[in-house]
Amino acid sequence: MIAVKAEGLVKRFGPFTAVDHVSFEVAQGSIFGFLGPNGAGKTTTIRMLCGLLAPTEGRATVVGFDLAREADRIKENIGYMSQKFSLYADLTVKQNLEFYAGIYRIPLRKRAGRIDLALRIAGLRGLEHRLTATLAGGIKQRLALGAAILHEPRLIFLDEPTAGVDPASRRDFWDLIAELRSQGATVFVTTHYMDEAEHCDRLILIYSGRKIAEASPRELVTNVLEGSMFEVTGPPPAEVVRSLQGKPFVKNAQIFGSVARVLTEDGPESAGRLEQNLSETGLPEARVRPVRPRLEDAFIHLIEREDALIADSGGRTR
Amino acid sequence: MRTRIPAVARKELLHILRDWRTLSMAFVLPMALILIFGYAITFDIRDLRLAVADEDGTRASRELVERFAASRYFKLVAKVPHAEELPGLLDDGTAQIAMAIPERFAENLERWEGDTVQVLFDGSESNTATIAAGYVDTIFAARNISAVKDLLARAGLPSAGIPPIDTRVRVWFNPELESTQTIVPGLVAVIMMVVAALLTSLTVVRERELGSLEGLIATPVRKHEILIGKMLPYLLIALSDCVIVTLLGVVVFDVPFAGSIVLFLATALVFAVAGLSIGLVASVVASNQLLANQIVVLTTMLPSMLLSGFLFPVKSMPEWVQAITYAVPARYFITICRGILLKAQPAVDLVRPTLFLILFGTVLLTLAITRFRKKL
Repeated sequence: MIAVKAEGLVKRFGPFTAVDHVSFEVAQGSIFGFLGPNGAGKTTTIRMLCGLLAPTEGRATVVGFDLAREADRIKENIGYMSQKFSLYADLTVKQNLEFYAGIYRIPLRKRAGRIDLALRIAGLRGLEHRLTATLAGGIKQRLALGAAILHEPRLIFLDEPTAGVDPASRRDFWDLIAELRSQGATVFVTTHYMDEAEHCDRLILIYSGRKIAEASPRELVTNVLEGSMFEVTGPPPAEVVRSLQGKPFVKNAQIFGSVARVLTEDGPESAGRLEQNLSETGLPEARVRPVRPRLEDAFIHLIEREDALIADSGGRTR
Repeated sequence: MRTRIPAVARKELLHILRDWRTLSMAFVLPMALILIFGYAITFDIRDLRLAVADEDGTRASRELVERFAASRYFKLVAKVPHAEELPGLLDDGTAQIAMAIPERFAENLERWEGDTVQVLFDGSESNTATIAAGYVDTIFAARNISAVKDLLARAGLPSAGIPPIDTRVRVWFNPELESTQTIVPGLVAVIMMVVAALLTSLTVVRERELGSLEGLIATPVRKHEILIGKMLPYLLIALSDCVIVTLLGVVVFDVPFAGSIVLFLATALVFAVAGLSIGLVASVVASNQLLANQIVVLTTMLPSMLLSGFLFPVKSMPEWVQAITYAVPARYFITICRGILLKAQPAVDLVRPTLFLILFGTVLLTLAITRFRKKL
């Protein structure tokens, strides 16, 4: 069962192409991650799929309905949580939920139960009569999610639900998303936090409007990063990166906090070779140890490769 | 299927109740407007400043001056010995009217040789000057008639037939010809129009600016449900305003309420829908709140004041301007207000303006709904 099928979606704003021929399929009952840096076109794509923006080109079906012709049928069956908080700051938590319950025409006899359920899922019990403006960022996001799932949508779009939220709340939020999936809903979520990608069943990486990778998190790590990952400690990471750049067996070297992460072409046995190489270039104190490659490494590698492609073609016409 | 209008209306009402700015605009503004305009706009002229140069200085000349000073229309502000000093008093604004009584005035009158009294007006306020000239003529006419009567009496002739034709003017509906009586019913219409349009002008564009519209239009809510739902609480406010403003007119400015209250409220409801719809159209097309506000002020305030018959009768406008006034909803409600308040006109006489108002409301609301795009 396919929840979303997008075919060649394009959105142009004047001369600027925000989304450039993006196609994908989202399986029913999965958590689908839409990843990319800010400005990559994630929000524009999600807005098109929710019927808030008309695509310039391309077509899509969402929960089985055609986006161009059946937007209202789609809207009845999806929940949407926008990146910018879109509930009413001057209403209380309960008034906001009651309003959306009315908008989704939830029958009166079911309404109290649904609102209570949303309050429980979002962990907002006891805050019903708080003015929304006075809620902390993480709690506001949970309220927005509560409002988006009141009508039990089959598909939930979450646009950067964890942006600007503290790490503990972010973890709680992903638990919530997992719970929704376990109840049978499909969750389409965008994020620019690479570490959150692990929670997804399937991922798309979008960069300057183009899809540059699509896979499961595991596939991304193993397929994209052919070779081995090492962490180099000791000398300042900037010096390590500088001395390794241009070496034929080094595919990628990145500063990562106080250490350098290096991707080589060969297997884990190349640690010694790397250490020797660093020693020869005047960094004898460098210590190299093999590490498990992370999704983030894969994304950085993909984005750098894409940047190189764009640079080679002298900048893509867009 | 059930409509979502009540859900939207309820939410909008909650916004209004939490926002003191909207509340004060809804209730304080109309009250302030009726009081300010009710007192400020008057075409009745009283206490015109009069300067006199009495070069004669006799009983007859003093008696003439007294006739002016005693009327409530004139106030004697300066007495100078020579007529040459009068222009200076008009120039510096001390006086609005100057009167010069020549030497030998009494003597000439006594000998029935006739004489001239020069009266100068400050014509820079032409409206005031015109009205003042009328008052001056009336006072001189009265003086002349009483002189003729005296003469006839002294000759032993009957004077009952003087003047030969005595016009008996009776003014209906506004016997004192007080301008507030026509101004206040018009003001009710002007205030309702401006306040109603201002109230709804921010509703949609504010949600667009705050970002809450994005959440709302991602739901299956229909466009008409949003707009009509938003209008309903303001309709209630507009009607309360109408009642408050009219009540103030009756209590503070002694305007009569001669006609049917039910008919008045029913027509006010129709008029309010037209006004609120103008605000909705502005809110739907404008990209920000400031622009929406300006559109509303421009399209309601000026036309309602100038092209509605509120201050200037439509019939005395050039024909092409008269054609424009058909498109000013306030014009019809002013007719209705004056008809009900002053003349107690029955419903049958008000069918035409009411139909026009219904037409306006329908067209404007439809325009707002069609121009509202459920997109970002």
